Amino acid sequence: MNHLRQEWLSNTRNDLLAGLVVALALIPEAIAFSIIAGVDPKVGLYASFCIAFVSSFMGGRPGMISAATGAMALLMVTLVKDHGLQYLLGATVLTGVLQVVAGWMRLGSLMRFVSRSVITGFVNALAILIFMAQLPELIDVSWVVYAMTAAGLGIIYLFPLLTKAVPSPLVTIVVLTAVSVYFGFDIRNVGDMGELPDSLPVFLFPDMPLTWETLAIIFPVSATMAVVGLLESMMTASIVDDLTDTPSDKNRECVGQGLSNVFAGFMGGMAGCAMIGQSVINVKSGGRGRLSTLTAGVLLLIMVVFLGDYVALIPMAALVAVMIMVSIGTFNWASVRNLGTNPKSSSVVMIATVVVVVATHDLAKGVLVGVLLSGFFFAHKVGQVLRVSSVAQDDGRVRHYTVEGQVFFASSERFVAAFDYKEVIEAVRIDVSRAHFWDVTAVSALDKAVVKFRREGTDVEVIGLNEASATMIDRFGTHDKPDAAAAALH
Amino acid sequence: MIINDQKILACVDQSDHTDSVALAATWAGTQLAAPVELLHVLDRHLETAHSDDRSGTLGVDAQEALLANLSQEDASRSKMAREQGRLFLARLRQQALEAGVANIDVRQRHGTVAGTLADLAPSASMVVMGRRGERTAANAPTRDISRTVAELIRTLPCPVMLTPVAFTPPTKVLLAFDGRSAARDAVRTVAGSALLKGLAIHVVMSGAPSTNADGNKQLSWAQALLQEQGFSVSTAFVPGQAADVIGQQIAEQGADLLVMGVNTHSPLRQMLFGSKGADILRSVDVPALIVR
Repeated sequence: MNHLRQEWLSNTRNDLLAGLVVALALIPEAIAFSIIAGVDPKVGLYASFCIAFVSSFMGGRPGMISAATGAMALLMVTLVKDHGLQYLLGATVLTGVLQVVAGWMRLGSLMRFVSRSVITGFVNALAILIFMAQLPELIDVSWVVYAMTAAGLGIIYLFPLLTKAVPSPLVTIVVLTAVSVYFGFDIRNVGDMGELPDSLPVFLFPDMPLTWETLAIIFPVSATMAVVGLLESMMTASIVDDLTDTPSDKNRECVGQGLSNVFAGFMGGMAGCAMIGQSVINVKSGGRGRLSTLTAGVLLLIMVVFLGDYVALIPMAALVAVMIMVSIGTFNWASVRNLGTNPKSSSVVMIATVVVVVATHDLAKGVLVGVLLSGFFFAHKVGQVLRVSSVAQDDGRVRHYTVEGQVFFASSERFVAAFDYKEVIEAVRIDVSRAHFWDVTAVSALDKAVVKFRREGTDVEVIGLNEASATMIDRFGTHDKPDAAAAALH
Repeated sequence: MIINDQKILACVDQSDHTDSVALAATWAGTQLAAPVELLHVLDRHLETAHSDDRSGTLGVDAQEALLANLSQEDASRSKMAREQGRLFLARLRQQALEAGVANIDVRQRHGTVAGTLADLAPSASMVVMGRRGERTAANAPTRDISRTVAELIRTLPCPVMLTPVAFTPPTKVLLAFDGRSAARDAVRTVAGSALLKGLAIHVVMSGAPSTNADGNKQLSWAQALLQEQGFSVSTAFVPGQAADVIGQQIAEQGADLLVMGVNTHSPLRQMLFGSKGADILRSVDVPALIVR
């Protein structure tokens, strides 16, 4: 009871106010992301309500904001274009189901394989894509749009110097809408972009045939969305963890994200996930508890449904200004400043992630490339941690080799090459007590070295196989069996 | 459970209950000849925010700037709280030394009160705390016993002494007795402990008049056990609701310490049926010793 009360009611006033600030910022974002996905604004707005509503109860990270996001919107463009909205809703439900399964299987802990550089690359790519998505509104338009966008950005960044009591994105939207209506500018507004919500969302089963063909169409999209949604959610959760200095339940968050998407899909909304920018705004505005997320979702719906006629009048230039702010705030500028000082491999991973995402518009592919590259660089670096030294003993009859470091697939060649097989000597002792043999490749490398020595007529003694190496050798090694040389010849 | 010679933890903060907690711990320390530790928990209350920035803007490096900002605020608050805590703990320690307790220590800890006591209480002989802390006094002045305290009474593994705003060394004890196992344990604990040695004990049982005969049997068991240990004991069976009877008996008998045993109820059961123990505690304004 105390726990529930603490998560919901210990920060009531701040949570309500922060929720309001976030709701106001969510409206332009939800509309912008619907436009990216190629659906009516109401699809994104319904989704934002549903996802915020469900995740406030079911999520594992109090104070985090989840709604319709750009990362997900980018993945559904083709599906919407080729098959229409109903397939998107179906894909959204399936995404949710996959995420719930991922939560049950505790896949949240897999996040530890995603390095800092990949996360930075993901965030930067996301910021770039959000920015690029605004360009269609800025190309081939009258000077009025440029002037309004510039004015909007000016208000967003300068108004807080005047007062921090009112959200400046709201001021921007109100002022630009008023100006545009007063002067009757002939510029695009939200109403031109498609249908806005005129009622509360209703439960509907996606209107698509329940066949294997349908599954084949939506499954790849759903799987990618499930992965990207969880990635961004886990990232955002750890950002909120850091900001608030409190822990979160990552696997519960996976399930919460899944249930949110299932609900959104059935209520006519598109898939979404946690939002980095909005969560930062929420924490900055004093949001800490679950109440802030719930408030954001509910107020968003109320405002949109009851003020829909006014929302339709908002010029796109105002939304563009808000979204440029979001992309500037999301981008990790420190990562650019530190490009020179960070290790080259980290910078390469980060840049590769960004490039792949911007080229493919698919955050999952970027992360995959980033993770593979990080693994590759890590293996390469650890492979360097291998030193083989030797000294002649017993009046030049025996050479004593000492191996220190990590022996595995990436260093096995260097390991084999470190011995002098051509030396004319009675016996060699290979002391591996300070080495680690990690895999089959390492073991076969040792076998190979032993066999090479034996073929020269040199006796070999391997000493000091430590515990880890010993188990590996016991399981895979051949050199300690009588027919070692014969086996190696096959 | 037997009150042995382990540490007595006095949970103090900067509320109006602090002095009485320190006095009670000093008294208990003298009675038991046990070391006393004045414990102050610095709870940063991470679940609440202090922000009044509703600008909703994200500037360059928004996340880094916010993190730096929040952690700096936390750090300065922590340092200030630590310094304040050190000063008032030093004052309380000095008072206790003057009152004749030699073995007194102070400790400040980060975390929540519940979390800290979960760590420390298992190795303590007794926990002393006020009926409410500074936060409840500020946020819910009408709440007599804070939620945290009520929860702790239910969950702590050792005896808890709950003090009102004022504390004077007790002279007469009222033992609330219902004949159940928790209450019989309380009688045994009191009999076996040095804490209340030499005090007069009034054992009170309440209930329906029809249970009188059985009640008297139970009461004479308690009386015999306590008299064996040299207490001067009186008993009474008073028909009525426990909370009313005990409040009224404390006034009539001039008792200045309530002793009662509690069962561990599940939170659900507590929510559905309320807790008799908490009702009794609310009905009295004298210090209370809650024995498990």
